[in-house]
Amino acid sequence: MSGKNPEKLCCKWPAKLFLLAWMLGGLTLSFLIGGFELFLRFPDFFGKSIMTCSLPVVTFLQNESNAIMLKSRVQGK
Amino acid sequence: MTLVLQTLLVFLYAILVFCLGSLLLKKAFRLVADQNQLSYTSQWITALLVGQGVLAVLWQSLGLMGLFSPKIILAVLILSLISSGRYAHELTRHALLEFKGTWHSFRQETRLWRALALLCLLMFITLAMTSFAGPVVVGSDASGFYMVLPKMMAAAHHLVPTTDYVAKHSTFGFIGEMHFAALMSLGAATAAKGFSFLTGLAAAVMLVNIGALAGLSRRACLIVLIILLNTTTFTNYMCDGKVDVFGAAFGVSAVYWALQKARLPGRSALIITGLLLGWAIYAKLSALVALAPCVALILVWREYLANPDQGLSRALIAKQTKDLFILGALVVLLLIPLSLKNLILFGEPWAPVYYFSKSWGTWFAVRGYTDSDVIRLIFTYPLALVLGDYNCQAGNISPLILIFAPLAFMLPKTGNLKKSTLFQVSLAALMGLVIWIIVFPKGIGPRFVLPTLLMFSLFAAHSAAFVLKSETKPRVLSAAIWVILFFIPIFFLYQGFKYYLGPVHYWSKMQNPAYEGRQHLEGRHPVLVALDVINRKARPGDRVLMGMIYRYWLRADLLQTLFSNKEWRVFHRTPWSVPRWAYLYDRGVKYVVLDTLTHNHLQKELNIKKNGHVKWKPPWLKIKRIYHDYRWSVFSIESTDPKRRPKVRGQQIRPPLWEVAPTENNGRQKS
Repeated sequence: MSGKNPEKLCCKWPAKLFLLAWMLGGLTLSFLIGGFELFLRFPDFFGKSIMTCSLPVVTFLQNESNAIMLKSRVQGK
Repeated sequence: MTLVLQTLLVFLYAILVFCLGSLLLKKAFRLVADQNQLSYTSQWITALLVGQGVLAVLWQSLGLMGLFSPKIILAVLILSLISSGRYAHELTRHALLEFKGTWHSFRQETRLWRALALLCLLMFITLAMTSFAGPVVVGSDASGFYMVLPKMMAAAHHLVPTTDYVAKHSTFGFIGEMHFAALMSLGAATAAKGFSFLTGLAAAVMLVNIGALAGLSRRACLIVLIILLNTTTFTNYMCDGKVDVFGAAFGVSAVYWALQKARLPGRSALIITGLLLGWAIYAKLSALVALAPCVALILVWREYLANPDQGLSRALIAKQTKDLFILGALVVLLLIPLSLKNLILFGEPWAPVYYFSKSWGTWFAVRGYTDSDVIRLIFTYPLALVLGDYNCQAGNISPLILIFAPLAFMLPKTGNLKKSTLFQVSLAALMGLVIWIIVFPKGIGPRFVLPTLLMFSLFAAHSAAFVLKSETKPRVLSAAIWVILFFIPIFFLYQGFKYYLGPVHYWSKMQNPAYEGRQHLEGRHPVLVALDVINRKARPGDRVLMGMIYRYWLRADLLQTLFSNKEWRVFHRTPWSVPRWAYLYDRGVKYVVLDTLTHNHLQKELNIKKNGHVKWKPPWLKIKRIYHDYRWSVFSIESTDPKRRPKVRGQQIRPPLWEVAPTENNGRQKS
């Protein structure tokens, strides 16, 4: 991972690619959760198809929580 | 008072609070300021927080005694200004110079870093505008309790507890609420919640100061701020009038001072840590579980490192035990006012941890997750904290923490890890979080553990800044970090403002006349209109049955005479709608507000049909729906029998306080 000079970062490609994929994955997810609605306001800009494809991912965690909440309500808690 | 004047008043109030704090901490600061070991901004913020803690307790005591009048508040503030004298002025001057120096140092940075600093500044300005100028929003907890109690207290000069759905809230520790009340009493209305913004700003500065202590570069500190600014559970509460940022500011500052242990002479750092931790717990009781062990670990660790020769000697263990005992004693001492308040108002000295009366329920029993839900929930950590939207979660921590976390593997291995301040803080935070999850697995809400969670931003920021500085070509990771640093704050700022009328939100939605934010500004929101109908029609002494959580806009005299907890219990025990309506009338209720979504049970209890018709009611009672829109309705109650009169009504026995007292004829017509 580290080169001879501790001030310089020279990491191997697999590690670099993994970190890149991790960060871009985080960015995408954040966009879907946070930024998605912003872009919903401009349907012509992004197109309906992209939104339709993204929607299941956006609501993934929210569905999870909704299921728990609904269950709680049914149980009268 | 205009909004600009209200905003100025909030700033002036903050300065006066600081003056009192600096007066109290003068000796401790003098002890260390000469040694140039503490930044002036951290001293300034600490003084502000100590002033806040002391004044909150004082305002609460005055409220309990019925002496919370603008004259007394003003006298206390002026007194603190006069007595703080030159020292407060000196400290302010140094802190401003330090801040100016930091700001100017960014001029030497590259354009990208300067642009990021500008983005950060713009985000703070946007938050400030929303906080000072934004209205209290229907649906926010502030409109149900956090701005309601201060409004009543400012009007009544007494601490009047809230009832019904927000009854339990009155057993919590009040810090933010007391300052809102003081500001409202002095003339700032909704702008009083701007004090939350200033306190949030204080938390941000202290977090950056911890970063500086932990060896973070200036650039890393800027990334810390960016992380903080897209932690929606933080930014939301800087704006909406809820008080979670108060606990966060005290908690973060407690960690800062715990890190000063063994660096400062005597026990000054320990005592300030104890004070700040005590108030952090006072403001947010969950800090007792999530933050106190974290602070204790840092204190012990720092002391251990300061005495490398002693190892784990008996003398060191004895000293550590004594220090922890002092810390605990300070925390207990600061929690006494909370206990006394709950004893006086409710006869429940251990509330909100333990209630003698079962009618209160238990601490943290509000979430109805089953065991399998909890297991599933725990397995989604830490994603749940970052991306989850669970019941009562109310915001997330920044995704940047998770995104940058693996970059920590790129950091060079340096010396002894246990001597690293960053490692100590991160490990202590992890311990605090784990303890919280073990003790309260259902407590999925970043706001409950906010100061602990904010500590994770430091290592994430440090790692990202290191990669940006050290990556060799091709700099793909750096490119990704830059994209993330600029884009995610914008996404999350928008997400955070979604409910709180942020500028982007205005821009995208204000064209729609049905949009709630626009209705708010134009006073057309059904809740505002419903309560306005009552405000205009109700005569002094009339009472309102509030079948709705959101009540901030109701007249202050009507708020003070809402149904008490005891009356609600009697009401619920009454067998069916006819005697219930009679009971309402006897208790002086002239108006019933009904939110069919949140108070569906009340609709059933009073046998109100969907069209607003009430079939089963006393024959002598005239019930009329005077307002209806969507899910909100207002009913007026009148007696058609001249012999039947209410037994109690709202009266000003000890003005300006409104109390419920028996009428002269006690429900009978005068002959």
